[in-house]
Amino acid sequence: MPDIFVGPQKETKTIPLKKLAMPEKKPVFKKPFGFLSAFIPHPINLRYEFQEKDEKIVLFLRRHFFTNFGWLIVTFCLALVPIFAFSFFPFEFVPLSFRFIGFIAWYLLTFAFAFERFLSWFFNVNIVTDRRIIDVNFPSILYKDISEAKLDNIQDVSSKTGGFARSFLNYGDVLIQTAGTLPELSFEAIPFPDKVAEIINDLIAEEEGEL
Amino acid sequence: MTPFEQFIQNLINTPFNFWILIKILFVIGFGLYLAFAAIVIRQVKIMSEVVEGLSVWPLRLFAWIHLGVAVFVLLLSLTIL
Repeated sequence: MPDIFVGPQKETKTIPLKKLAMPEKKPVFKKPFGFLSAFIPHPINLRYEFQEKDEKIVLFLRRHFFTNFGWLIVTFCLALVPIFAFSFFPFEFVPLSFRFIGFIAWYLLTFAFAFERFLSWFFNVNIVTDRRIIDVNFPSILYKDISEAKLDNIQDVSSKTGGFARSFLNYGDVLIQTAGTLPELSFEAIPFPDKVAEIINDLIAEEEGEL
Repeated sequence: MTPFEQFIQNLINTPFNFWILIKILFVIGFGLYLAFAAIVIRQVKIMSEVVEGLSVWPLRLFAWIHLGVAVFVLLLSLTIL
């Protein structure tokens, strides 16, 4: 039987199964990658020490900058101590040269304290790649502790935010339970913990889809 | 009196100078601080090797200036105290 009306045919695009399972998301964060950035999605120029050739860094994280507030206040107070001390107690019984050297020694120690705390914040980082999760820790000046878990070993990812500052500035912890030798990895005080947990869950789903 | 006994006797008879003791403590302290400043340079190097691409030159500069100041203060304490 001849067709009376034939409607215009629409072009049908074949969508790969992987894209159906993992719809493309708009980039949530558009923040410039600065020297003190604590949340860097898809960093271009960064490279991890043991990164494989075709491995890509998805997230580069460190503790929220606000976590430095405590030691910054302590440093400020330590810097004021000699000024107050010399105004209240002239230390006239101490020879001038000793007073001068003591003054310098105090500020050297204060600087050392602040510099160490800054280095600790700057280099204790968390990295999420498209294959694994890495937690780089420098617990003290002479120790380096790197923990990592492959995405297919991760069993559960959860985020935790609590307290005034954390809720107000939107930072918190992400706990990652693994099936490997290391039972749990934690990203502490990182910005946007819920988004990070979501991104890791998406990566795990993607990884499971590839298998 | 043997030379050793004489040495001990001299030590006992020498008047105790409190500020000499403080100077020695300062010099030892600054010596240890110098070692710490050298370790900090090494630490910054090791830390920056873990993640390549971070702008670490300001930290390296600070670490070297810190070492320079530590050397200067040690020498200063040896000369003016």
